[in-house]
Amino acid sequence: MTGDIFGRIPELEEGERGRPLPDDTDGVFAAPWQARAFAMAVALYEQGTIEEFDVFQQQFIEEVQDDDESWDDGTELHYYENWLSAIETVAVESETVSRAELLERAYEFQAEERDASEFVEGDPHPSDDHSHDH
Amino acid sequence: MTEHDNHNGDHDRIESLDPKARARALQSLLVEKKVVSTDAIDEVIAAYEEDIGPLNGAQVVAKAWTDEEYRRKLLNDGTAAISELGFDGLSADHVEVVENTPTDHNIVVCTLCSCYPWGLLGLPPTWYKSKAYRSRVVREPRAVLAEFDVELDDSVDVHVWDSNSDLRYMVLPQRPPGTDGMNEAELVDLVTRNAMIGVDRLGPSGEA
Repeated sequence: MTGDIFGRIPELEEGERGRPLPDDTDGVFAAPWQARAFAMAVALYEQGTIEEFDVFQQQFIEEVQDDDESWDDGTELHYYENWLSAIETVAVESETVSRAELLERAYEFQAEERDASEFVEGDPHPSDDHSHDH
Repeated sequence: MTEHDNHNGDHDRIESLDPKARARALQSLLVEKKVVSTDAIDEVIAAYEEDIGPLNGAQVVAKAWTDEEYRRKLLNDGTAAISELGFDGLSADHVEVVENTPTDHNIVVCTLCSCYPWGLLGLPPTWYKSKAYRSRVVREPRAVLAEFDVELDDSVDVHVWDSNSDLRYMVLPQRPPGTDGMNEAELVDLVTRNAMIGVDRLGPSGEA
């Protein structure tokens, strides 16, 4: 088995040998948005929006492998940013959401036109003028 | 302009936004479109914060230590043996268990991302997900082990197993010496998460 690995793993680059490992995080998630991102991927699979969890996993691998950043300023931050990119792509490719509406909605949250109070357990926000009839 | 033409621009623009806003936006849309509910999302978080953790793996290990037939079954078909104890579902499936011996030490990584047997160990620790661990442990496992205070004699071979989305590895550590009188429940307490990943060794390190 180690033979397989050595065949496809590149030699350690200058500076990678002895590179310090980050410490464990206190708690399972370092930030609520990371817990949210994690759970959405699992929930999308459990709800059947994606048939195989591997659909997400492969996208996540692509994001991580394409990530050139060093992650020295925070493994969890970069890890979950890649996770988010992957779950956004899966949601878009399954035609569950569009990139345009994701972007628009994210701007609204960033500009604080919306906040997390809409996730309070129970019904969708009743006076939300973005709500749709289904 | 088609959706496809806009794709790369929107993809890049969203990545420049605060991840907190991005995560909330996605949840907001998914809930609005009734794809998932906030309750379902909260339940997943609660399950991984409270229920799913290394105690599951420890129970598998303790049983293997006390039940020879189970140990053989576990090494032969990890997925089936683990499922027998009720641990299955997402990321407890397709598990292969590799056994530490006096002459062999096993250590697990996922070089491509962070594949890990969630159902048995919970979510992986930060260092497991790090670029540093993923790049170093295959090429210099003994140096990584030393950082976890595991110093192996040259007589012990180190085997590095690369988990992937189809198959996740877990280590069956050695039963610590001096535990013959312990029952399964007591043994569970001795099994550490790090031992099941392979950065901890519960048996002798090969000296003498």
